[in-house]
Amino acid sequence: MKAPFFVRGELLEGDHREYASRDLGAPFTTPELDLDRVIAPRSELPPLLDVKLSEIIDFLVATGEALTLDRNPHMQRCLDLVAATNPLPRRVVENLYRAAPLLLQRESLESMVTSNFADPAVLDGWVTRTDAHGNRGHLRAFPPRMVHMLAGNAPAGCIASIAQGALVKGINLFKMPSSDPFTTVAVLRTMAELDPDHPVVRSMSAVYWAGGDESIERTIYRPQFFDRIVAWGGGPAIMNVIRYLGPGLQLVSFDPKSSISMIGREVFESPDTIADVAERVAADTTVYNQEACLASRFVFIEGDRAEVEAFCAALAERLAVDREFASADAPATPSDVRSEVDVMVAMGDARSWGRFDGSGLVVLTDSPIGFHPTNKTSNVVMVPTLADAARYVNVATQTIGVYPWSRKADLRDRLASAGAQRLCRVGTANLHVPGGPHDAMFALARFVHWMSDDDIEI
Amino acid sequence: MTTALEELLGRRDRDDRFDTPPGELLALQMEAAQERFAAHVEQIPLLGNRAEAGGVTVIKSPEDLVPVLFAHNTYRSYGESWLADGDWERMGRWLQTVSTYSGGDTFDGVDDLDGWVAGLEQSGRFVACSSGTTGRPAMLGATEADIEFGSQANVSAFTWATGIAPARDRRFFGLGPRTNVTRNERIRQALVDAFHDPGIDDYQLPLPMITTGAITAMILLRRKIADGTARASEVAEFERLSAERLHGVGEAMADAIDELIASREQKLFLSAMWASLYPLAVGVRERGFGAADYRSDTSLLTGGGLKGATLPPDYREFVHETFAIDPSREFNLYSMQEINTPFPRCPAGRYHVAPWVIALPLDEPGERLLDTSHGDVEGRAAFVDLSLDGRWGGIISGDKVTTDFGACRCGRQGPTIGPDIVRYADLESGDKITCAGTIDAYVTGAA
Repeated sequence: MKAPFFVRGELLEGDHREYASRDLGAPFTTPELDLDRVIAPRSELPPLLDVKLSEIIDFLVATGEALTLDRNPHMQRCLDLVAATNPLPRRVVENLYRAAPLLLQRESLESMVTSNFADPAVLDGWVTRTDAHGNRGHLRAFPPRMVHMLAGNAPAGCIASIAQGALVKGINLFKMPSSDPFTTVAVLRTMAELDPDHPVVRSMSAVYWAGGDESIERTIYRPQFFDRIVAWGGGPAIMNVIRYLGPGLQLVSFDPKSSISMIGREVFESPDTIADVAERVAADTTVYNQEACLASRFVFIEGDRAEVEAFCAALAERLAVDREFASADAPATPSDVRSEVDVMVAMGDARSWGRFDGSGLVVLTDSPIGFHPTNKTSNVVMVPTLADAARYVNVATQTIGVYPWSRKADLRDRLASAGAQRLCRVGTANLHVPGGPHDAMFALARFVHWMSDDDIEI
Repeated sequence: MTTALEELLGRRDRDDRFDTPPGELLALQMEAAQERFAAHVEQIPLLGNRAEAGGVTVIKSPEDLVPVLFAHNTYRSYGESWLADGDWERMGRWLQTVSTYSGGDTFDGVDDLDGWVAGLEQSGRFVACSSGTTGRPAMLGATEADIEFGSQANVSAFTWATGIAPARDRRFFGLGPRTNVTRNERIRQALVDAFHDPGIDDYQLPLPMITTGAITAMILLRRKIADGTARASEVAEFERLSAERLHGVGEAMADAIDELIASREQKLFLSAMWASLYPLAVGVRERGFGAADYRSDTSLLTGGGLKGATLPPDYREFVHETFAIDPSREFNLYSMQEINTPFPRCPAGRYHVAPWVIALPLDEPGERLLDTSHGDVEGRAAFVDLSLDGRWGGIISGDKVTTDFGACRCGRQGPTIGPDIVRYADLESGDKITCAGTIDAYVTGAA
């Protein structure tokens, strides 16, 4: 498989080096990485500097429409390639691609801007404010130079990163993951076909190198070349990057996260409610076959044992269902997890429903299990009250789906204090109100280079 | 009449124990495996569950063993919170689930892990805790028979590999930190008894013995930091202790260098990991001593990899040249804490599997037995160590190895493990980036 690069508007093809994808070990080849072409010197002004934000949004919206899978040969071809390099099932990748145009809808893009910038005019030019003494300060959200380290577990995630990079008018280098060294280039090619000379296109490069390759990272991770490294996720890749941070080069990290569900005793009011909530928890648990950070892994639940066991049985059934962003059969449960569950069951400390074959597993315990549930595994933990579950919430807890919704308001301050970032109605973890923060921050405001020009009257 | 199992275990000290074609051994091994399985399936609840789930009622072939192998993390599958909360009753039930004996009945007066382990030992129920500091330590149940067999197997393998008889004519140098784990101490003592001259003092790196409880305390603090319940003063105290320990290591190493130089004319038996040996060798060289000052019959017992230490590529030669160690007198072994038997390295650089251990090379997921009929195969190491009495000897490791059932280049028959051993966990490159993760990624510094 060939993984071409896209460098500031130009497609680069070649078989200079061969790599193997993570997880599946599929081989792919890339052209030679010419760092001088990838890095724009600071003497050049950013191509998007004088392009109006409204024009950028128009172009992104047009790109969204052009990404419609049935009409886009690049994305169609990409689907076959990603199926070979990514552990996600092909059908799930296809659904992600089908949903991709939604990421570039006008309303969503505009709300990203307005929620990040009190006055979006700072993106288009110098905005002047005056203090009580008549001194004037001029402010501009100047375009940053950014490296985006894309995550491998969400093949359409690059589209959100491209949008973010374009909205702040940045000079963007996308470091693609080995489990998907294709999608970003396919999206950028789609843009280039709309307008090969568009400043958005000339602001974007997408390349691959093996994460941690010192010969490249030591060379380019410097404040002379970049202002921000934006990383989606965690793991050894981030630990590598941290070594290069210093004055002038900042990390904006969407940290590795886990998500949970909190279910109040109201769930047991009727069999219909149990069925509905079990389905909703299953929907939240299975997002990208539980590869996503917003996928629920633990369910803290009120109720007596017999009731909770009935809920577990219902949940296990719903985990096994085929969904838009999950398959009936995920990869099988890792053997180390299986052995832990086996031991707990043999001890009488846990009960389990479902199977170890990746179709869904529910483990009921009275305190959270010591391993990280993956591959459609849900650990249901009985708690006296939902407030007691707050002790299991920490800075790594991203999304908390709650039932009934009315109890969110009572819980949210305590959960925020514990470190959590987002509450939602259970069953909607993968849906967002546009323009909201991600991982408790408004990222665009952190990306830009806040440049000021003061006129003090003395 | 001797049983198949007794017959195999009886080979421990025989000269030809690592020289039998696998085909000739198989029937005896299967009979012995069935003997162990029949007894253990009644005693170890987890094995009973596994056998039932896998539909295994009798062992007739190596394939029958695969479904009843335990994953290596089985011995870490207790809850960290049980340790933190001192829930010894529950720890006991857990131990019972993975061992052939009960985990104790009364826990009066037990106030920490060391106390729990000591209490069990009084009734012959040994628990060996591993000393990993980043995750839960493994807890491995063993009986007196296991401890005795394992200790002597180490002595015997040393002699087999180096040709050095247990003549009690050397000075024993224990150059690594010591742990208060009975199994480790008994192996050490067996080596001292066999090779050390009783007329002189043996040397031990002067560091306070590392207790299992201290290691656990470190792990529990890490847990508390992750949970957000650790107070700043607790973290500060931990950092202080770590710094103190580090300082202590420096002083102890200086002492060991002095002693190694002072003893240079003695016949030495050095025992240490490379990560300790290398800085000691550097220290000896810096003082102006080297190969010419040592006797030419120094022996070395080492094993394991570098354990995360970064050493120059020629570290082994450097150590050899410093202490005048002929490579033939370096004893290197491959083993794992979950089994009881060392596999000594032969002159051809391969590790020989003892006849009472059944090698079961598996595919990477650890589900399918690999075909070994056409030479070397690469895969996940799994073994059934039939010498184990206190727990089930069937284990799937985390190691990626090559296994060959054909004759070794050293001229002997029998399964061997190749020199390149890597942990699957280490193969996960630094290239992984995902938005999903746990609080463990947020714990820095401590432990």
